[in-house]
Amino acid sequence: MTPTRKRRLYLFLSLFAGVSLAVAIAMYALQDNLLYFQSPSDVVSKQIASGEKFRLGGLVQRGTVKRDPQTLLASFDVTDGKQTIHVEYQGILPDLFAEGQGVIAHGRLTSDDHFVADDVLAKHDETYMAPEVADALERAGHPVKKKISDSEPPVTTTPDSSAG
Amino acid sequence: MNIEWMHGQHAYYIFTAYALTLAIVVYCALMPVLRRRALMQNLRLQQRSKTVAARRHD
Amino acid sequence: MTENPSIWQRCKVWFHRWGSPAWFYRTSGYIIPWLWGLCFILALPGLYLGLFVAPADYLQGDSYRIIYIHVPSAWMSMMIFALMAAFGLIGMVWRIRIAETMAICSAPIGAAFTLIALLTGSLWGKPTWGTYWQWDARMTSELVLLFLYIGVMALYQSIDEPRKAARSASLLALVGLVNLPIIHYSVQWWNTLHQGSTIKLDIGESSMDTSMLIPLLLVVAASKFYYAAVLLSRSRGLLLQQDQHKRWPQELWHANKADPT
Repeated sequence: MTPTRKRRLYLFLSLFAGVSLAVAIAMYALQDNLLYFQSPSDVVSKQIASGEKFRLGGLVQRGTVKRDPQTLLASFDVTDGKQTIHVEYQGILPDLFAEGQGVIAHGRLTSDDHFVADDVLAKHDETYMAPEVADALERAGHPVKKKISDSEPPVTTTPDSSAG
Repeated sequence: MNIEWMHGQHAYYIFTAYALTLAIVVYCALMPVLRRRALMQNLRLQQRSKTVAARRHD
Repeated sequence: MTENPSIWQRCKVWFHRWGSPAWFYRTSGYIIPWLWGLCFILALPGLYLGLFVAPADYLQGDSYRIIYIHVPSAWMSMMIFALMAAFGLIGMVWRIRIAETMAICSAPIGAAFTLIALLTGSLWGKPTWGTYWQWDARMTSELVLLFLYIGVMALYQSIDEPRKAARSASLLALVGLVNLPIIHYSVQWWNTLHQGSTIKLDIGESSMDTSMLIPLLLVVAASKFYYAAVLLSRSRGLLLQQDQHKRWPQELWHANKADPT
């Protein structure tokens, strides 16, 4: 490589390194603002004031979902394994809302562990499975997330239901 | 063949996504070819008129 | 020098030939149809399997079928940016004209893939998450990628002298490279609405059923050939446009009058 080219190469590489460093520092400083949601543990440790709007994210605790079909009022517990916060929401839940499934609720705390949501989004995970496989896992004793819709209450899977 | 989804509740999203993608992909693939063809055509016309002019000059 | 040039020497000569616009134009003309062929051979079965054979997802139902275009285009949007910066760096350091051309011609293709990734992601997000758009780190950084592509194209257009313009735009591409790791790791570094990667290249197995994974991999492979074909096609056009008053296009035409291209 000729000296000119070498000089240019180093110039551009050091420019790139400089910009990377600057961006890394900026991101480190802004870390908290880049969080899209707070987990229940974050809520407890950061002592978020009630009334302040934020997004709460976590898993819907199994067996805690209650729905009132007349008023569309739903309540459930959001957990991250350590802390749990009770969420109330009036409105239509996303299709993928399910027990054990991730959710992100936008709203505010009314007390230390009581959250009223204006908006609920389902958070999907990166697993893609055929229904038959999910049924097989269920039968083998591994609980997988189950959709709960108003029209059909959760039923125990029988071998017949996977044959179709 | 599994085409049940075409009547399912998500058909709208799937169709829209695929239609938009197809439009963008086809546009992106065809545009450079058409532009280059037009340019080539233009060059040929120029070339021809030059040859004709040269012949007349003779 | 020995009488028989070594393989290394031959490779070097072959590589240097690509630096000639006339050679590039002619050779890429032969290669492009093959790239298109490979692209279709992979994409058609991939999309067929993905849309009509693969089972529905146990939780999302059928809306997940959008990933057969979303994931390949999201990957391509990042891969093309990296390649654009690499071509740009070669162009800036070695001042190789073809490298500059390839960098500039990559930008619109990458922008198209980014746009597809954003649009299809949004159309998948509505039935899955319940929203078309949220400002989480993954989506925002992908949108920044689109703006970077647009910036590269705009910078190129704003400078009259084409080679200087290409090098300036390459510099922006090189700087914008910082965004790629942010996009990729955003789902690990921060809480995001977007889920983690389904297909993991580094560790562990992919969290996807084989019957769903195979079509995805086919479309991913096809998208690479699509990029190669369109890149060569665009580069030919740009070289021809820049050199239309030079000798080689006319020589090319005289040498092969029957060639319809």
